[in-house]
Amino acid sequence: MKMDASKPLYSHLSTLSLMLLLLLFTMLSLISVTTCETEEEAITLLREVYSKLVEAEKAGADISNASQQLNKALTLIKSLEEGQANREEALQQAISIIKEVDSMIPTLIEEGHKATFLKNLYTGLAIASIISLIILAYILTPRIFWNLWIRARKHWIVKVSNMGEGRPSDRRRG
Amino acid sequence: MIDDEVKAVIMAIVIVAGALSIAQIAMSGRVSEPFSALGLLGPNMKIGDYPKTVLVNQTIRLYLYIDNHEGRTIYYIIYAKLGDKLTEISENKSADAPILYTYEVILPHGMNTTIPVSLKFSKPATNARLIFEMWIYDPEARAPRYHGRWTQLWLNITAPMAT
Repeated sequence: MKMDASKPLYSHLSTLSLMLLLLLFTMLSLISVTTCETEEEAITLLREVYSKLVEAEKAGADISNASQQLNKALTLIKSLEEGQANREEALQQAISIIKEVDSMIPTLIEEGHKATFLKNLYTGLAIASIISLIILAYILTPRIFWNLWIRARKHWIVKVSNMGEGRPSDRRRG
Repeated sequence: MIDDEVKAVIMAIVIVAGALSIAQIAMSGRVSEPFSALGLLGPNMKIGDYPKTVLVNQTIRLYLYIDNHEGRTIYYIIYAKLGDKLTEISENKSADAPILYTYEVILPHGMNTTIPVSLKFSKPATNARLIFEMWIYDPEARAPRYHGRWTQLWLNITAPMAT
């Protein structure tokens, strides 16, 4: 389409201003829709991050700090009221906390894997130590017992009497 | 040397002690009986002094006590519903009643919280049941799920006297 250059500029002004008004109206309606949905979007985002956090916890991560942060964001979102003066600001703060927690998750999972490995290692070592102690106790207890028994009686003088006469009430073996 | 019976006794004692120690190590940090607790406290944050009669549009203040011993971090959702004596609720079935308010909190294992709740009722009702249901957000199903815990308060909601 070719624009008629011969027409004066003011004839296009009405069309231009109408288009600008339409554009402005569309932008304003978009902004209001976004503001209205953002609270729900924030809750959806928070729940997604919570799900990731649960996975991290299953991987052995310590998520107590992160979950407290997430709870702070949740409280902030839930405290928002319609027509609140700093509503948008508070919502942005909550979203910022959620995103911060989200960014922490890979590190938490990595630390969780390390912690799980160390825990398993310590558990294995502890169990191995206990089993070793059982074996050592089985082997060494009689030796230690007899050693102590002999030490306690090292000053004893043994007198042999009634040789050849076995006691009928003696039920010991050997 | 030592008798076989004595050896057997020593072995038994050592094995039992060892097994107990290993069990302690293996079970450390695990929650054998996971549970969540939900409690309703009065306006003084104590069990008691609950309101019995309230006026329409009068704000009543109560407190919800939530305790997490599930062994993992839980996202709790508490629904405040208004039912009556015919409203059915159990550990398996949540009440089929309108939701008045929703409270949400994320709690790590071993932690508890007390949430202040302010409620208003728009219609008069006799023998109304203010029911608080505990739901949890299920990360696998990506949806809230009834957790089987609930508590209630019987109320008479009356219309304000005309002056």
